Amino acid sequence: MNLTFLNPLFLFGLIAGILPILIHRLTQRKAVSRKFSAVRLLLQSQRVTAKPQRLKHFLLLALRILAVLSLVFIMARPGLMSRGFAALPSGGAKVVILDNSLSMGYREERGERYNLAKKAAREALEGFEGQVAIIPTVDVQDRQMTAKRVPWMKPEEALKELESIPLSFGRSDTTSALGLAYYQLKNFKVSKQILIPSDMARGDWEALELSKLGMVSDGDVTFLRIGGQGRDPNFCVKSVSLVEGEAVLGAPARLEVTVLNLSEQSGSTLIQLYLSGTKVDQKSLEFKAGEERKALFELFLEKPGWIDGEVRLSGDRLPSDDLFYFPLKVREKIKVLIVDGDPRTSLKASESYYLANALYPGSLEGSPFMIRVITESEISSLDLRPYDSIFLLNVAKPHPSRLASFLELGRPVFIFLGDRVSLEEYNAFTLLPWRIRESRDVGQNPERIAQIDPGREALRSLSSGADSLKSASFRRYFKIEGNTRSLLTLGNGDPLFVEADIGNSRLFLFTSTADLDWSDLPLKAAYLPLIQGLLKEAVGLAGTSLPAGIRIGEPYKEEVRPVQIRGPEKGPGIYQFSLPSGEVRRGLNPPYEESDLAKMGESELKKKFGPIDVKVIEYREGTLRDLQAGRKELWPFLLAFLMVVLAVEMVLANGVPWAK
Amino acid sequence: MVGIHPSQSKGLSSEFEEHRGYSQGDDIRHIDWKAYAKFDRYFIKEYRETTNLKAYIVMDSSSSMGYGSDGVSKFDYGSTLAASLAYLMLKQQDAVGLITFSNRIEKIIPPKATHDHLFAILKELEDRIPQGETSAASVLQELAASLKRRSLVILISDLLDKPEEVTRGLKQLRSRGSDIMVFHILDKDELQFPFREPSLFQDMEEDLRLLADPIAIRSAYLKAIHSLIEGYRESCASTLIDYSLFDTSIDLDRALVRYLTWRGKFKPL
Repeated sequence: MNLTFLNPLFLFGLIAGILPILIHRLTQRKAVSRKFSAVRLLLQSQRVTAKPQRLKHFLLLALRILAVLSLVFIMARPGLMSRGFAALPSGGAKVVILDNSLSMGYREERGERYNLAKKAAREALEGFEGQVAIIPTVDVQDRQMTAKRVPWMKPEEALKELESIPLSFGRSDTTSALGLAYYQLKNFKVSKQILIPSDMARGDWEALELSKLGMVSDGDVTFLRIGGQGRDPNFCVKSVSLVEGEAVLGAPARLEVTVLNLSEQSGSTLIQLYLSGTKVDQKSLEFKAGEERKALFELFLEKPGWIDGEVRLSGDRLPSDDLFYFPLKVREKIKVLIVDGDPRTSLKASESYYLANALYPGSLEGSPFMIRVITESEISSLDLRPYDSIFLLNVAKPHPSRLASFLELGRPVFIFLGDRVSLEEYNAFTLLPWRIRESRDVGQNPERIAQIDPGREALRSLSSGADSLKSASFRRYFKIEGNTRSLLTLGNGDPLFVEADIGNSRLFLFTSTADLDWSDLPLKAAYLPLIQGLLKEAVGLAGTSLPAGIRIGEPYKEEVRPVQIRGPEKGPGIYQFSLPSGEVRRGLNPPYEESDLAKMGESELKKKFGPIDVKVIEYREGTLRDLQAGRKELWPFLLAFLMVVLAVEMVLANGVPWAK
Repeated sequence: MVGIHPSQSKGLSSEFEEHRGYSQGDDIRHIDWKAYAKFDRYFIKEYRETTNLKAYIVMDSSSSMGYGSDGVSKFDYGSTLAASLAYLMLKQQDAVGLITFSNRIEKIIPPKATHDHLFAILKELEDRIPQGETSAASVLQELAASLKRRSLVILISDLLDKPEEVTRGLKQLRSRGSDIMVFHILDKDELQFPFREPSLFQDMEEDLRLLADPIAIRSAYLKAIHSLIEGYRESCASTLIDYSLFDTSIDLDRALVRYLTWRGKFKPL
């Protein structure tokens, strides 16, 4: 342990120690000669006081000299140099586990935490002459940093390597990083140390499981905590979803953005929505501490195909998680061909009137369906390929050849029966998996729907409105036979609405009419969602236009190599997969855990490390250099000493103030 | 001429004081026969003898008495006090004498009760220049030996002498039956020691010098002077000697009135 000075030149000031002596000599007053009557008494007094007075004078002089010398020493900044926590002999080995997880991108007053972590690592390596290995906490496995691949470097090479490691967008794999560090140090006989500059975010370190490593090094572990112990405020996008199925061209869509306030305090953030790089809307939301809120954006999409969406947040200091990517596929409108087997001059009396209105209510532009109504005679000459679905309403013949070729395209067909239907023609159609029997007229005792298939998503959503559906009365219907899947069943057990898979396609049969001739179902509130729901499901519109997003670090199943089309390189963004079935895009976003900036407590961390000696040091710029060298500042002690000296001098020279 | 002061001896006089029982040896002429007739016991009548007071003013004229901080020396102050007392006593037709001393008796003016005698006392006080060392003890012993009858002795001095010896001399004088009043005269400087500059103190009687920082020794000095004063006060009180301390910075008339008031409560002069 050596005594060193930061400002050794100030030590010349020690000469000032003679100042009190000089002042004492110069200010000594010349004695006045005076006659006095009681000199004998004075002599007695002098005998009593002379020795203490002399002692007092010497003490005062000594104290004043001490005060001057103390002041000079304080200005020279003395310190005791010893081997500090990071000081190792030249043959030692250090592993620096650099936390490059996303949370390290937090920007505090002093700068970005990741830069501070690098600075801490640089300070820790300053003056070190041993071997150094650098291990980032993110992508440990991706970088294939096996024990053979992590090179030992000289400190200057290690510093270069340190600078080359970028801040990642992912989550730390602390267990793997520590495992690698222990493996690296396992065979070292020299002094060894693991330094971890990190914000000690809970999202990174909570998952640490040392028991998985199966090895424990005798080297000590030192955390250089960057950014304090408190939970830093931060907002993040938890999810983006479409409220109602897919986005369809020309139809309104509602985008729901869920934002989380990961903080112990209330705050607000501005949520901005960008589509294909253009800002389309924004909303400002106030949040309570820890609150989750949803922002709804109304979209009206006018161009089919993929749209690259972004949600941007503002108002926090972690920018890396403020951008959320989501691809959105806008579909063309569903083209529906309705073949009206019983057209009338009055639209309302036509067979197709209620169905057409259910699919295209009030000629609403926002409907996802585009319908065309034709008569039965037109079907034989019409090219069916542009249509996504066909509805046959009370059509006499099923036109088997046309329907078969349509079904082969994998597109659904809905058949509604009626009084114009020729049973022979239908039953002769071999693709139909059922046989239509005679119609049943229940007259004054109409049948009602008693059972709804709960396994169908489209029907499940109607379960809340089941009363409406079940209130419909059916006066007449066809009985059918065959292996069918009944979606709606009447009270007497006869199927009302059945479904069958035909190859890649599906065939639906409604045993009653589509208009009001045989039932009042078209007048019921549940009619529209029933028809639309089943059709959407059949044409694949019931899912979502937002493909499931991926969080960085999660495995993905696509076997083809994706191409990044938006976002920072190799970071979050929108990735394109060219699959045989067509192009797919997926959004890749930072892991949600990295957005929560709650920290691990020291005791909690030590518990995880068990018997291993773990130190946690709050990093402040420059202080590490002192700690590394084991420099202990002495000026605070000297200052305290100076204060004591001055206080004693004051009391000795003037007496105790309150005693006066 | 008969004075106004009662004598301390009891005997024949016109002023009856008390009865006491007859004891063998008493003069039968003093038996109160009327009392005998009344009580059938012998009682002796006693009378208080009234005499003229003979007082000695013993004035210290050593060099230390010449010290004065405000232009008035202790000797001046003491002389004025002595003259005032002499005047008062002569007014009461008492005989007053003056003894000046240093380490020996310098001059004795025997007690007389004539008006011209005041001038003799005043002349001596005026002509006397304070000089020589103090030895109040030896002078008091000498005075005790020479006094033939009980007298009032008024000692005016700064008493900067060896206190044990002074006290011994006073006790010796008191044992002869003399009434003693001690007027202890001290200067303000001696009582307060207000000096601040480092000083070379030269004694006014002996060849004593002291170079000292007054601030440093002040507390010890004040303790010593107060100890001296308290010593005198206690030893005087124990032998029924009247002791009064006079600070020369306090006006003499006030000091004198204060003293006479106090004195009158106990023993009228």
